[in-house]
Amino acid sequence: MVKKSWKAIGNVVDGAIHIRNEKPCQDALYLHTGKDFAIACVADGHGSSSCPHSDEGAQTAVKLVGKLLYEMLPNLADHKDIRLPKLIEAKWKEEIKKLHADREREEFDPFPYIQYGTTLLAVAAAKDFIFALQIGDGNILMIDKGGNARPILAVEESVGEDTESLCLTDAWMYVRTQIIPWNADNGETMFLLSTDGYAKSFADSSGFLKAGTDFYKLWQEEGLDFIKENLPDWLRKSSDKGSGDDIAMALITF
Amino acid sequence: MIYALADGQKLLSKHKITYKVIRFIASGGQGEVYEVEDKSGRRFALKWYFKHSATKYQQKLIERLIERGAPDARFLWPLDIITKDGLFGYIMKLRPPMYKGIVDLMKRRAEPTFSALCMAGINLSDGYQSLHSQGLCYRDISFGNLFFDPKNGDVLICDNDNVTVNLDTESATNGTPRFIAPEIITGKSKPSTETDLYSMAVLLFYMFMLHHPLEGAVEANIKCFDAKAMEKIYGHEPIFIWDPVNDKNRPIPGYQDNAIIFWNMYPPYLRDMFVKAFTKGLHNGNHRIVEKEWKDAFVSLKNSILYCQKCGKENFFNKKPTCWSCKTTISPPPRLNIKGQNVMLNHNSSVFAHHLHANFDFDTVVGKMSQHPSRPGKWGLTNATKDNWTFIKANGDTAVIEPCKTVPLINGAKINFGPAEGLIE
Repeated sequence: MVKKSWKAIGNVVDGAIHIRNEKPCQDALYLHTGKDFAIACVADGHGSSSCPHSDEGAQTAVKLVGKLLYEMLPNLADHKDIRLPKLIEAKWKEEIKKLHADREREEFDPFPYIQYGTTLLAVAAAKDFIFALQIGDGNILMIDKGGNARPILAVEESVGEDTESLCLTDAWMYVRTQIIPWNADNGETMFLLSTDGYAKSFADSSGFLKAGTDFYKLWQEEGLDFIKENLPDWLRKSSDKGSGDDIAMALITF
Repeated sequence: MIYALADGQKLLSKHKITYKVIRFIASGGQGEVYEVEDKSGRRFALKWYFKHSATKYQQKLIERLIERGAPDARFLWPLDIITKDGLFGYIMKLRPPMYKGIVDLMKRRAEPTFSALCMAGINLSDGYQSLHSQGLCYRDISFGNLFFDPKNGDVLICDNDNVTVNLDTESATNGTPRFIAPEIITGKSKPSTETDLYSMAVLLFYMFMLHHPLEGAVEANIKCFDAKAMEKIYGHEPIFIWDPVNDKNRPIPGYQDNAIIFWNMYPPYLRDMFVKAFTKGLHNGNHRIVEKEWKDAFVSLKNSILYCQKCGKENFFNKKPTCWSCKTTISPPPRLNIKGQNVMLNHNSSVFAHHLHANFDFDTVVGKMSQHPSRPGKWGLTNATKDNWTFIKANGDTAVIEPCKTVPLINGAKINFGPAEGLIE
């Protein structure tokens, strides 16, 4: 019998609105899998006029957090509340400062972080636990072996388009984290991470949850490679017919 | 998520009590916690162990703890045990919702006054003293298992299922990273009451400085946050951020600001205690601060609280108090010098039984500040006991102060409370 392991796939598509406005894609994706783990991060740069470089902010966030989660994997449970969120904020801002220094002559700003503002969602699946992290909007679903999709780290809908962001002062305080104990007996399980553009392409939250169940069924019936092949097309259609926003999505399976 | 127990499921305990599962509360590394109800409708918490944690040793430990009973009411102690299909769990009291964790404190979801924080420090130290005095070792003091009421500093000590007799060698519990004493990390020692004292000092530092005592420049400059780096900071080469002779690990402004702001806010005697705890005490268990020393320090700190007349913020008395927040020079209120303690007589101050008997009783109010009914701004100390006090003026004249009567705050006058005498300054 083949030993089961964590696998991760994902994709990013430009939103119809962003293509029309000739704006770069604001979403970013990072995947890293190994013998007993999988890490997936997605981020959504704010893209507003006050955040002209948020695509770079999102790219920086997914790479940096993916690396941190990998390094701290054995100790995530111990650092999830304070140390990790503080490190994420500090390291992201440090990187942004370096990035901004290159363009500072033209655009001097003592507090450049807002120009790079981004959300961030991450899941690290290990041998005996699942770690989830989120700042700002977007969605993480856990779909169990019965195909039941449940949101993780969900908060009440915020008003309007404002979202919590890595660019905020004391951003670490807005980072939500969760550890879910895990063992292989839990059976085939899937985690779905997506930036807000995906959930917004559904009429309501039940439609989005159903999509989670549908992805699970497709994985069971057609396999992960089938999803990987078709995901860009499906996300493109979701954006075109729905929110018009960029979408980054990752799936982690066991 | 797949829960081990289902809502509505009934379980019979060793004490022959049937508990019904009401809801899942949370899960941790060792197991899941559920809210359960007995037949009379009383609600409890049930910690149900995962298969890998449900060892025979753990079960035996729980049974011993139940037999022994809690050191005092602050411990959410195992009360009863339930076994089923080779697995087991234990019953404990539920934690009331007003109790908050240290993470809530860090994230400003709980904002206690300094006075309440001092009480939390006293209560926490007293709780662990109570445990240690029974020859027990907690083994896993960290901010995940201490909760406090931000209104008054009452504390609850949770997760007591790893408590063993001191120097027990059977238990595999070494504690929570960042709270574990360096000698455990380096493999030189096993958990003991001495290593508990180290973890307790870290916890207290966190509560008062909102920062870890070893996380300074060295931590900020780490490039790879793997286990090796962690062991170096917390075990093999720990350096206190405010080590007076080694400045290699000072906190970095802009990144570790809490450590700088709060450190400078507290009086030198408290800073000196933390210095001792994390310099000599870092490497030598005999030099660690014991519970009674912490309690005395937090009592002094609480006694010394005064308010800025301009912004109303709490400050700590010193010879020339300047508000840490608005930088105004503060005129100190009258103080009561009693049994070597300097108690600031603010508008909301009380004299407690502790000030007379040195028994850490801050529940029994002896005297309470009150305003003159017809002369606003005129304050005095009201006798809250059932006994008379004697008021002694500087010229030697005396007056009897009956219960509910108020003493004026005259410089140089004394109050004889019976068990002790206080000088108003």
